[in-house]
Amino acid sequence: MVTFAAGLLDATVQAATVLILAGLGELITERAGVLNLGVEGMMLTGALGGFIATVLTGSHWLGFGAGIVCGVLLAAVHAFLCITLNADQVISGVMITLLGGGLTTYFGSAWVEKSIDGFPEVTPPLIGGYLVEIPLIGEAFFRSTATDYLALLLVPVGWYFLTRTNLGLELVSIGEDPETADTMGISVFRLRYLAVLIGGGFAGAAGAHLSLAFSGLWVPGMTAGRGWIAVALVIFAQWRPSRLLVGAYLFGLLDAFRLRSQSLSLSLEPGTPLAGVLNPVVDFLTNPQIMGTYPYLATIIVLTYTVARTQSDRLAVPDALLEPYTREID
Amino acid sequence: MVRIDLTAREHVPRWLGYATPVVTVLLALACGAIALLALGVSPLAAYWTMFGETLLSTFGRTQTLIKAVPLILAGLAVYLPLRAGLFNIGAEGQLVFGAVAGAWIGLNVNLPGVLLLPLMFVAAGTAGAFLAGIPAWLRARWDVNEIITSLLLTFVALQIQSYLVRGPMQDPTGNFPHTAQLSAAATIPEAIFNVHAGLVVAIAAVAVTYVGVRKTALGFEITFVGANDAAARQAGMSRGKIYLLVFVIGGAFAGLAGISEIAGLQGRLRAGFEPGYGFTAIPIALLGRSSAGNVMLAGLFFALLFVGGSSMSVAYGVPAALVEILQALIILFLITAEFFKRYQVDIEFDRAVSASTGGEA
Amino acid sequence: MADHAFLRMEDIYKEFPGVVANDHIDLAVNGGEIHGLLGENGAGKSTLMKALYGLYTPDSGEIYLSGDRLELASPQDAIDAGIGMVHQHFKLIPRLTVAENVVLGQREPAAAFRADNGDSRLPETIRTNRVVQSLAKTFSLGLTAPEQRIQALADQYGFDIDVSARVADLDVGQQQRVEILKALYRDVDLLILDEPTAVLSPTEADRLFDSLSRLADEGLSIIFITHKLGEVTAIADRVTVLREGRRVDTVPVAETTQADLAELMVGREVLFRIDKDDTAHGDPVLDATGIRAADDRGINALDSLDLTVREGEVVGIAGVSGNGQTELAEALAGIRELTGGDLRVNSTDLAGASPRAFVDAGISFVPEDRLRYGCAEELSVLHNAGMKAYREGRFADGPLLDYDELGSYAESLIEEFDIRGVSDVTDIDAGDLSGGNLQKLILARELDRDPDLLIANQPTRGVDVGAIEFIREAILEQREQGTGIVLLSEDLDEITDLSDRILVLYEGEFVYETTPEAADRERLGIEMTGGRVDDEPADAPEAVAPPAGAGSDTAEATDSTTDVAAAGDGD
Repeated sequence: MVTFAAGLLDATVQAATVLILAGLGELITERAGVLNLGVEGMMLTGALGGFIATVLTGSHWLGFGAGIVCGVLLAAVHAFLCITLNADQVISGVMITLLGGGLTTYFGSAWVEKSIDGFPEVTPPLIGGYLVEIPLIGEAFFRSTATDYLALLLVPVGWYFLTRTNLGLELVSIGEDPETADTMGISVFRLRYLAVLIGGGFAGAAGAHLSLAFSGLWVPGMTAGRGWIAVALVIFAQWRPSRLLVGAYLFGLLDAFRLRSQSLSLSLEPGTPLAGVLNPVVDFLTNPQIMGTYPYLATIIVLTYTVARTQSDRLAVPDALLEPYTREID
Repeated sequence: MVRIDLTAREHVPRWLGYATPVVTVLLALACGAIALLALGVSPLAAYWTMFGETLLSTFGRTQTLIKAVPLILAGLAVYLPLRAGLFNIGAEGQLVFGAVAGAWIGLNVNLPGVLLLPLMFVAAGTAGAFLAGIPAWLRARWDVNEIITSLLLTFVALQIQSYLVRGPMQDPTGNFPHTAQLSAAATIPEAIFNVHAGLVVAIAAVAVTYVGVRKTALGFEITFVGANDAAARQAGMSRGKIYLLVFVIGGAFAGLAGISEIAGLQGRLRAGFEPGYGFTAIPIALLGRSSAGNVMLAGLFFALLFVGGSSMSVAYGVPAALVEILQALIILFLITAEFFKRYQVDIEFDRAVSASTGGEA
Repeated sequence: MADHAFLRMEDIYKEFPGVVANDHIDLAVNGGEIHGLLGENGAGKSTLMKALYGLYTPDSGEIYLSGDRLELASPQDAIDAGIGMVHQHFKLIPRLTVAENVVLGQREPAAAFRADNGDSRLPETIRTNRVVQSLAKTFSLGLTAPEQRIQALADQYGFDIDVSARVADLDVGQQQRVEILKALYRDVDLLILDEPTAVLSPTEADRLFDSLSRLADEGLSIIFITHKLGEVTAIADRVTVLREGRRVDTVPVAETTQADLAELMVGREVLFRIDKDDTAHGDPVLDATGIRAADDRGINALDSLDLTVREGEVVGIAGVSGNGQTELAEALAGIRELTGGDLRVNSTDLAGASPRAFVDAGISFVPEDRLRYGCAEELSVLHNAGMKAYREGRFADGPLLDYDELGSYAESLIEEFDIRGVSDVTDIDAGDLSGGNLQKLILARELDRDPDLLIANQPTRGVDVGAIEFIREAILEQREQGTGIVLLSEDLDEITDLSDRILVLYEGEFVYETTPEAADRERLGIEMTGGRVDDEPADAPEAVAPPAGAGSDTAEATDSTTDVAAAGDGD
């Protein structure tokens, strides 16, 4: 049981990192008023780009950097389409995901056979030796790759950025009311570009983490829908970094659990009361595929709850999300 | 100095509206050519195989028509809500739901084919409609964004399908994630052009949609709500009713797409049977946004892309992902074209640097 | 005008397609003065102030502040010059706090990096370094010092505000004060307020006036745009009256009366009358009692109104926009929910009914915002013509809709109402039509239904002269056919020409009722702007005002005629 729990936690932490990175980026983008449904595509390009760079140069960090760059490049397309050309953000995002998927599968075919040693798992400096000894959670949390730690660090950084810096304040304002922000002298276009590019960079980083730390491989479509989960996660977190972290672990835990639930026999002994009713129900609820629906269902419920409340409570959703902004061209 | 002037067009010239789809496709193909060259393949040869050879061979044409069935129906599933100003990205999930429901009936109900098949279609349509009804209701009731909800429900549906084919609906002989083969009674027979009767259903759906939208009072309302829902409300039209209706019917179409693919072509329900038809439906609906007939044409074109794409990939060793890339590029150029339709771009080269500030725009 | 006035706007000229908004206007405002800018809608007040705030550039004319010539290309330029504006529609972000809203765009760095912070542990040389400053301004945010300063400003002027509160949690009056604080924080010397009391209750308005007085006492110059006479006389030192794009006069408030101001605002033209038949009015078509409704912000816009309209009667509702007209029109048309009261049309109870029920009850609506509620721009003329008619039996062809029949119908409307620019009803979109032709199309569609009740809100606004006459005639014709008509208009000519009865709507209440024969433009002007009639000099003919909604006005009829004749040189 203990080993099960420890293994579960380890997998949770690993799964959460991807979600944290991609989710943070999407959170920043959406706070600025732009919906980016191309996260999945950007993650894939980051994964492939990072993988290729690492194979060619032998450096993990160069690969990670390359992954970020790939994400940014794809995000630039989305930004140009949505911000400059005022195209529909949804269509552009879906298109980018298709493009990212297609491009990486197409050009990545040559790299499928290869594998590398990913980022090594390390413990934090100085105190690492002690932290790892903590029962149950020690190994899971404190023996991870550098990118895992990076993701954790970026959460408070992201929070600080949005709430305690002028740039963050301005970014939040353009997501709420771009017209007002414009009147106050803030450059809506430039800031939105920045937000989208940051989001792309984070998504690329998430993808690079997948291929460079999580698995050490490149497989077409390896993100397996994690980009979509990240989008759902941002909504589930009601656009707050602290809740994003909790949500990432929650979704990560769900993911880790459902892959392991088969090995854990959760059924009650046939003799115990209600076993006949409860066992099939529990079986159903812990079925891996059924569990796969939970993040999405939870998000729909949270979104409906957020939106359906009275006007003043609707503050959670960035007011100008999905609305293209144009200065009146007269 | 290059100066770029943007002026909003007052009236979009008709020719621009027609030329746009054609030009976008050509541009996308041009970009795809670059990807082909990158792999050392001659674009002309590859495209010829993709389009020309496919159309010239009976087999190619038949395959295209078969492929077109779910694409056309899914395209309609996105097209109809679009008319009312809504975005149904969940066609994929509705399609899968329909396939599941229809297959279940096909596997578990014992009736002669002439009764069983219609029942399967009805079940499929109902299941798709039900799934689509959820985002529609949330939008009508609480103004919850239907894009997000329909998208998320797609993933839910995919997971449920995955569960079913590995569990309750799994073929008992063996441990594969698929159902048993559908019986002959539950298989859609060939009807026209050597294609199963699903094609008839698709054509009928196009006709019904066309007539419905263009020629009925309901279609009038749908069009009006999509154009200006505030004015529509003032005129007494019910926005909530229309929203529900277009999504439910769209979902039903998607469900039909699912079952026709299973019972007409694949013969059994597998995990991951649908290669993204629901998402492909989006560019199809965009290309064909002006009428159901155009949706059909767009669906045929994309079917050609798919079929030609796989034969090209076999012939030249090019990953089939090129088709995905082409799809994405078509969307890309489509939405870029939207911009050029709305604004007139004048590019001027100023040689002299004028001392005075120019006159007011 | 004193040449040493603090603000001088000279010879400002601004033209828009089809209308001259500012026709060589001069304006001078002294330091520490509260200067009222008075005029009807469309008089040019907003345009003039937008030029002052950098939102428009005048076609010609100059602006001087403290003797310096100003070139204002954007609001930022205006702020830099020391000019601040409090907009009618607040530019606030509800999610952020008061302090955050105020400092937005100013890039206040964290306390340690503030150049003026003597307590900072960073040595001054580092603090004032340009690169460090730039980084600190981007990547940090210091609210402590700003909050203190904002709170001090608020206390100084008697604003009761918690600077760390979220704007969403504040009431409207407080939100407005945040807008003012935004300007004060930026050290403006001149503050422009655009119709500031439009959203305030009387008590809140009084508090605002107190604050403004204190600000003026400290040397701030204030320009106060309004159409309410009462406010001008209450708070302004001097007032400039604009009419039809020109400056009519500038007078010290102490030396004038509300009656004088009203006269300046609306002028004394001889009433021009269209010949109206004396139709007998039939049974009541509309019977509204005690109706209340809220505006888009949730503030009460209609305050327990009673309105009865009979068959063949035109009830003209005069008033300056913003006093509840829109809400009244929308409530009567069924697209705005009533928060109280009874609404009956032909004895059908429609309170709380759907828009469809209103349409079915025989109510037609010509909305003020025709692009938003009146038509679908991208759809064809045919679609727009048939917007309500499509349900009728004559357009049904079995289960289908007979588009050919609809086309003929549209064409017949085009002919009957002389709508120009439509070569093909299916090819031309509503958005392609000119304002006047589009309005005629909407009117045609609404009138052709032969409604029992017609609600027409500003039916000739933005319409060319030829179409205006046509539309007015059409309304009168409908009146002869027995339709009850509610006509809301800011155009007093229109009201007096077309109405059988005139009601003045002010701040959600009917404050005055009269007939065209008895009506006096000046009196109407006063009532429309909330003035008090008993404020007049003792020798004025209409010294005693009858209470709102009272019956006979015949006693005044002779008096007003004499006035018109006597003061023919009015302008």
